[in-house]
Amino acid sequence: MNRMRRAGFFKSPIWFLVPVIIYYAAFWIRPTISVIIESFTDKSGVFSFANYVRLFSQKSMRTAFLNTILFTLGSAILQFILAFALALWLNKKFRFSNLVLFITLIPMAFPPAAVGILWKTGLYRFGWINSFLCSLGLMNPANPVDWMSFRNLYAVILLIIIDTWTVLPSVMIILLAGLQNFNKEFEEAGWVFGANKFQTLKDIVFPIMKPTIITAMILRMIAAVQVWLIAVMIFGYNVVPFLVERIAYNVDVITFAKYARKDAYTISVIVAAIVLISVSIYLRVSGEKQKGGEIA
Amino acid sequence: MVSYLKLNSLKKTYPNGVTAVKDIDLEIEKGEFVVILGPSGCGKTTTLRMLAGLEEVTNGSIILNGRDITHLPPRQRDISMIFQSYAVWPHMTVAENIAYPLKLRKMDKHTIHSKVQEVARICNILDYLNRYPAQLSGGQRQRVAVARALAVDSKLSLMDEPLSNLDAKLRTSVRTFLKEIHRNTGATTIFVTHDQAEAMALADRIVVMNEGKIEQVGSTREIYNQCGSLFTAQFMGTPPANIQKVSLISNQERLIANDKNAETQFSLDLGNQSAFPGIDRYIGEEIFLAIRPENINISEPKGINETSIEIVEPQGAYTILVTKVFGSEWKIMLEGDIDIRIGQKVSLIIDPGKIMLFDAQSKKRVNFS
Amino acid sequence: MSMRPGKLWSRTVFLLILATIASTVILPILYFLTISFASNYEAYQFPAKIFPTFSYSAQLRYNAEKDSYTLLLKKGSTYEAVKTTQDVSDFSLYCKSQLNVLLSSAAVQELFNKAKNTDHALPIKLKKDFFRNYIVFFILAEGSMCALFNSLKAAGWTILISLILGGVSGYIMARYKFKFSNTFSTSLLVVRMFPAVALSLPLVVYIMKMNLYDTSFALAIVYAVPNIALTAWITSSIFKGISVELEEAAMVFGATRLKTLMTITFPLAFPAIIASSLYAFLAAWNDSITALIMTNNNPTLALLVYRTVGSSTIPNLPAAGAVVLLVPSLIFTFIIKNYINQLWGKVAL
Repeated sequence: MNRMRRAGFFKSPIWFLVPVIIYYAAFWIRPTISVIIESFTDKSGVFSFANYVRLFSQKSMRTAFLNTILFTLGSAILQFILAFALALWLNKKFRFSNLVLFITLIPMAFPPAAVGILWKTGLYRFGWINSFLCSLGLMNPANPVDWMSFRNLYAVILLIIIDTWTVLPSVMIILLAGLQNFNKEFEEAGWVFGANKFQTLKDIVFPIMKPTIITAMILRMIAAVQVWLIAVMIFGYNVVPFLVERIAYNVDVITFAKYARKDAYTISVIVAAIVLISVSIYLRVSGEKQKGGEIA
Repeated sequence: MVSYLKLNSLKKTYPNGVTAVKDIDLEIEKGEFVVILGPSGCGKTTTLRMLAGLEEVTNGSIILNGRDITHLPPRQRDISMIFQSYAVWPHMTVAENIAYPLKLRKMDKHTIHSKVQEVARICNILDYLNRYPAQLSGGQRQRVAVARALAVDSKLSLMDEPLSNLDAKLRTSVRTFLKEIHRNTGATTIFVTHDQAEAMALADRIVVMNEGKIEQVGSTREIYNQCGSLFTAQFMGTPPANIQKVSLISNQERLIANDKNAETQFSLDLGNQSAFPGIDRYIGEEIFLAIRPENINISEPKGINETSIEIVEPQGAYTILVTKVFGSEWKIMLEGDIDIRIGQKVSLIIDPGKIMLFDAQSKKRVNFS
Repeated sequence: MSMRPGKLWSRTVFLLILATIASTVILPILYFLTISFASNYEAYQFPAKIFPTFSYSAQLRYNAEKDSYTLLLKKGSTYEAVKTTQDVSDFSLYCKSQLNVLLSSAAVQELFNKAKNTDHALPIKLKKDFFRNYIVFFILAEGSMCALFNSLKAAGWTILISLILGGVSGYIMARYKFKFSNTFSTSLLVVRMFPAVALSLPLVVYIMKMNLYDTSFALAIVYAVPNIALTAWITSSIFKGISVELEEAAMVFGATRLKTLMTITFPLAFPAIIASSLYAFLAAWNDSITALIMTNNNPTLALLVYRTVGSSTIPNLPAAGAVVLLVPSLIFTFIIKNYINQLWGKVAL
C-alpha cells in the first residue's frame, strides 16, 4: 500500500500522521486563518471591524441571524423529541420493525436539492400538499392556500417541518444504535426495584443514553446552523434570509458586487463562531462529567 | 399449610411457537433458599423472569403470600433481584444505586442513609460508596448488586446466575457470603444456576429443570443420591456418574448386568437380587445403570467384577481411577492418595444400595433402596 | 386467549403510529415521483395526481367549418379542449412537448383522416412516452451526463482521500497512545464542526493558483476535509474493537505488519470502511454549495438540479433530475443501514 511506502522510515507511527497534518494545515488551517483575517480587514487591507459593522447594520443580516437561531433551536427540540420517541418505539422490535425502519430511513437518502424540489412542488398553490388536502376534503379547491407566501416566523416554522421530514431519520438512527447497545437489564432492574415506565426512562435510560444523545444533537445543530438550500429552493433568495443563505446570495447572485466577497467571508466567520459557541454551550449545559471510564 | 410461593401450571410460549416452560408446579415455603438448577435452555431463567414479571405468563398463575401476582408489573410484586450482569446503573454512584429503590419506595432521607450504610457494611463496600461502577472490579460490582437487593426488604429475593461472571475463587467465597446473608435475613430466595456444585452448596431445596419441565424437586441429598430420573443422575455430580445401558439377567439369585454388545462380553455383578425389590419385571430387559464414582471401591482381584486400571489421576484429597467397564470409560473416586499402578488388576466393589437403575423408555428411576 | 381491552387499545395506537409514519414518508414521495413522470400539461393540473398515468383518454374532433382538428383531453367527467390546429407537424409538436406523446407526422395524418370520417369526436388513446422527462433532462439537455460524471469523479476522489488519510489516522489513534493523541482527536472533531462554506471561499483562490479550478478533484479536496475526520473517528472506534492480540497472533506466526494489516485487520474493519466510504460518497454527491463556489462550467449533478429549478417554472423536468440524483443515495443509504449499529453503537463524543 502506498501509505507504507510514503513514510521513509518506520521509527514511530506518528510519522504516518504527517500527511494528514499537512493536509489539514494546507486545506484547513491556512484557509481558516485567511478567512478570519479577511473578515477583519477592510477593502484597503487595514485591520478593522468595518465588515461586521456593515453587515449588522443591514436588516436582512439581522433577520438572517435571528432566523438561523430560531431554526436551529426549533428544529433541534422538535427533532430530538420525535427522534427519541421513534427510536424507543422502533427498539421494541415488533413484527415489522425492520420494514418500518426501512421506510423511516428513506428521507435521509434525499440530497438537499431533491428535497427542495420535492417540497417546492408540494408547497405552491397547485402543488400536491393542497391536492392531498383537497382530496381529503380539508381544503376548498377553489381557494387553495399559498404556502410559499408565508413569511417570517411562519416561513421558519414551515422550514423546520420540512427539515424535520428530511433529517429525522439521521438523528433517530444514532439514538436507535445507542438504544440497541443499551443493556436491557439496566431497565429491568429499574422495573424490579420499583420504577414505573416513566421513571425508568427519566432516571435510567435517559442518563445512560446521554453520550449518544449529545453526539446526535451536536451533529444535528452543526448542520442546522448551515441551512440554506431548502430556503432558497422554496422561497428564493432574500425572502427568508438565513446566514448561509446570505453567503450563497453573495457568491451566486451578486458575485461581483462591491462587498460581496468580504461579506461572504465575514458571514462565514460568524457562522463558524456560532457553531463553536453553541456546541460549547450545549456541552456545558448537558453536563458532560468525566465518570472515570466509558459508559458503553 | 398454605405455602408462601405457589406456581400453578406455569407455562411460557413465545410468539414464534417455542415453549420454554411447560406446566411448572412448585410450592415454596417462607424463608426457603430454593435453587433452580439445569443446563442452558432448560427454562430456569425464563421461570425466574416470570416470577419477576419480566416475562409474560402464557398460562398458569403465581401466588405470593396469598396474592395473585401473575400479571402484575415487577414493581408491584415486592421483589428484589440480582441480575446476571449485575445491572448496576453506571451513571449513579454505588450509594445512589442502593438508595434508588428506597427512594422509589418514598422512604425518608435519614432512613435511606442508614440503610445504605448498613448494607454497605454487610457487603463490605463502605469504601466505595461514592465511586462509580466503572471504577469497580466485577466482584465489587457484584457486591453492589447484592447490597442493593439486600436494602430492599422484599418478600421474594430473586437471583439470576449472579456468580457466573466471577472467577472461580471469588465464586466460592461469594457463595458462602450469600448463604450467610440468607441465614441472617431469612428471606425467601430463588436462585438460578447451571452449576450443580453451587446448587448443592446453597440450596435448602433444589429444583432440577430440563427442557422446560421440572425433573425433580428435593433436598441436596435427595437430588444427589435418590435421582428420580436419568437426567438428574447424569447432571449431578463431579465427576459425573458412570452410566451404561445394560440388560439384566438373574443368575443364582444375583443380579447381573450385561452389555448387549457381544464384543465386550462384560458382566457386572450388582449384588443379591433381594437387594432390588420389584426388579423381576426387568429381568431380560434393557435398563439404564448409573453408579457414582465415589460409590465404587476396589480390592485385589477376587474373580468378581474384575477390571484393570488404565489411568490414575491424583487430586490430593482424593484419587480418580479410570477403568474400562462394558467397554466404556468408568471413573472411580477414592479418598486420599492411592498407591496403584497402571494396568493393575482390581475387583470393583459396589454397594447395591447406591446403584441407580432407570427405565429404558421413561428414563425414570426404577428401584428404591 | 382473547385480547384484554388494554391490549386492544395499544394495538390500535400502534397501527395508528405505523400508518402515520408510513404515509408521512411515502405520500410525498409518491407525488414527487409522479411529477417527475408528468408532462407539461399534467404538471399544470390541479389537484395533482398521486400515481403517474401511462396514457391519455382523448378525443379528436374534426371541425368542418374551419377544416381544423381539436384535441380534447379527459378531465374528470368532461373533455377539455387543449389544442386546435390544421397543421400535422404543429399537432405532433404539441403532443411531444406538452403531452410527452410521441406521434410521427404520418401517425397524426392517419388520426386526422379517421377523425374526418367520424361524425362526432373520435375517441383516441394517446400513449405517453413514459420516461420522456428523464430522457430530456439527461440526454437532450446539455451537460447533464457530464454533471453526473463530475459527481461520480468528485465522490470517488473524496472516498479515496478520506479512506487513506482517515483510515490511517483512525488506526494510529486506536493502536497508539502518544503525547498529543487527545489533542489530535479533539482537533479532528473541531474540524468536523466547522462549516464547509467558510472553507470553500478562500480555497477557491488557492485552487485557482494550482490550476485546479472547476475540477472534481478540487471539490474532493474540500469534501475530504470533514470526511477525513469522520472516517478517522469511525475507523478508530472499530479498530479499537479489534483486539490487538489478533494482529499479534498473526505476527507471531510469521506475517509482516503489512500482511497482517491486509489479511487480518482490514477484513475485520470492513464494515467501518464501507460505512465511511458511503458517508464520504454522500457528502460529495449531495453537496450543492461547495460546488456552487468552486465550479463554473463543470457542475456536479446536485448543483445542476439546483440550477434547473431556478431556471424552469414547471417542476417536472427538475423532478426527473432530482429522482436520478436520488437513486445512488437511496441505494447506498440502504447498504449503510445494516452497518449503522456497528458504527454508531460504539462511537461517542
